[in-house]
Amino acid sequence: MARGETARRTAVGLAMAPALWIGIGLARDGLGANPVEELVHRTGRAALLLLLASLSVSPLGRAWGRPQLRPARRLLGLAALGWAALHAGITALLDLGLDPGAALEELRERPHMAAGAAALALLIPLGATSHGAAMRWLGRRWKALHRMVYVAASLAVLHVGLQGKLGTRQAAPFAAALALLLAVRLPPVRRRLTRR
Amino acid sequence: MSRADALRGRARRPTGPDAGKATGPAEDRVTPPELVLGRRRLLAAAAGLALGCGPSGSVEEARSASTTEAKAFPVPVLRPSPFDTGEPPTSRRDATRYNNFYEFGPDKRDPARRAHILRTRPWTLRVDGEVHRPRTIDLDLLLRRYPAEERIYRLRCVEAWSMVIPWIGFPLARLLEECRPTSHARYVAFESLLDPEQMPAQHTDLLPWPYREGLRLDEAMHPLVILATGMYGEVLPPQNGAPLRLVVPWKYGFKSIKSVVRIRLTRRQPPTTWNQRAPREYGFFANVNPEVDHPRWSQRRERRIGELRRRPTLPFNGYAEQVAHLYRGMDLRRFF
Repeated sequence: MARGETARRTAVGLAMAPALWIGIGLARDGLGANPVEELVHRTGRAALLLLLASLSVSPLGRAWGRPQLRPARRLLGLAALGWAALHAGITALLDLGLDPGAALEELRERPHMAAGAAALALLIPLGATSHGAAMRWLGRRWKALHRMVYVAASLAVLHVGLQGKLGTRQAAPFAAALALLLAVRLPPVRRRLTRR
Repeated sequence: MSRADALRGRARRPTGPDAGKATGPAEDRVTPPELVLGRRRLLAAAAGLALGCGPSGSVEEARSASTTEAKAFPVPVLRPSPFDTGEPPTSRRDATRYNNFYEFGPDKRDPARRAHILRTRPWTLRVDGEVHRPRTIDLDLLLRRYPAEERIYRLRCVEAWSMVIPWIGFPLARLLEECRPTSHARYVAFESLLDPEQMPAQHTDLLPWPYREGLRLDEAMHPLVILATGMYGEVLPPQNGAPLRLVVPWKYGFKSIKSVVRIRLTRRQPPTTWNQRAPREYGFFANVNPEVDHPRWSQRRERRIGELRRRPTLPFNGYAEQVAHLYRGMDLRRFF
């Protein structure tokens, strides 16, 4: 049980770390000349990193032979959803001025906005069904539903790739991490990595 | 970055065989902060005079400051330009730490961190191509020849942010007229410095180097277009395109090429860097146009640096009255 507690505490720490990162930026230089843009970038990066961290819990648990890491997976997933919601909320409020027309136009004409919105839309039902009661209620379907997380993560990486400046390859490290996390789930790799 | 830091940044020079030579005239060009204060007072006094309430003492004081300063840096003509926007300028701090200058890296904080290594003296500008009088001019001669004036312009980046910058410079038309374009000249091509030793990102393939830009000759001759050598009453900081940059206020910022070393008049439309890099995203004309979107940025709105929410973007960045006639009869959706 103590091990599960360590995992939970680590997850809580990771979930809150972006707040510290943003706080340090604010204290140092007010997040620079364009603080809204910087806030949007930092919350977005926080969401994607936490989502990838959540996806790495199961493979690590298997490799270490510690299935009790599970609660950390849920916590990190919920934290990713929270930061993604904040990220989208700031964009809607300060970039789009809560104007539904402007939001629709962005979704229609800016591929990165559509990809990001789709990723967030997929994470919401996953967050809503992350608790034990929903798991019991959904039974087998729970697992099928939560496989959507791979689609959401892929869309989030695509979102980063489509918005970045030309030639900067900002999405590359995220894409590599996601590819690795998907690769370790392939049955042959998974069998080899599992510690019994 | 404080004014003192900016000056120190310029003072940092490489040691080497010609280091001693370089510290001579170049350092003399830097306006000492106390003289800048003098000019501020002068500006304030001029404003006071315009209102008919200038205290005579401060005008006297300011006049003496300006004569001392003329040696250090050309004093801008203090008459407010009819082209000035009445909007409050962006803070100098923000205008010098949020820059797109890919020669120093793609992050907007990179130029402020790295551009201090740029040596801005000696600096020569070559003007050639379709002109009767091609010439290579030393920058200091250029500064003496064309009296600088202040122009407070809006600057709109294609990334949907904007600033208001008090530039100091002179109309490009004056230089071009003196070089006497031939009857074949139709376009003006600009080129930035190519020197990977000073511009580290030129070691990468981020963009095809050197950075190139271009204007149609009638655009280049428009009185709004200036070659800037300073801003905020001081010499141009390296991250803003020192020592000489183009300012075309009705076009997206990437047209306003920095650290210019060559101007060539041509018969045909010259290749331009961003247009080469992504022709469907960046046109040759690149006039600020809220009706033509970029795939990554809506051009309908912009964030003025220092403001929280976005504001609507104006056609031709608010200079439609002055420049719209240049594009009469053109389909600006096609020629974006």
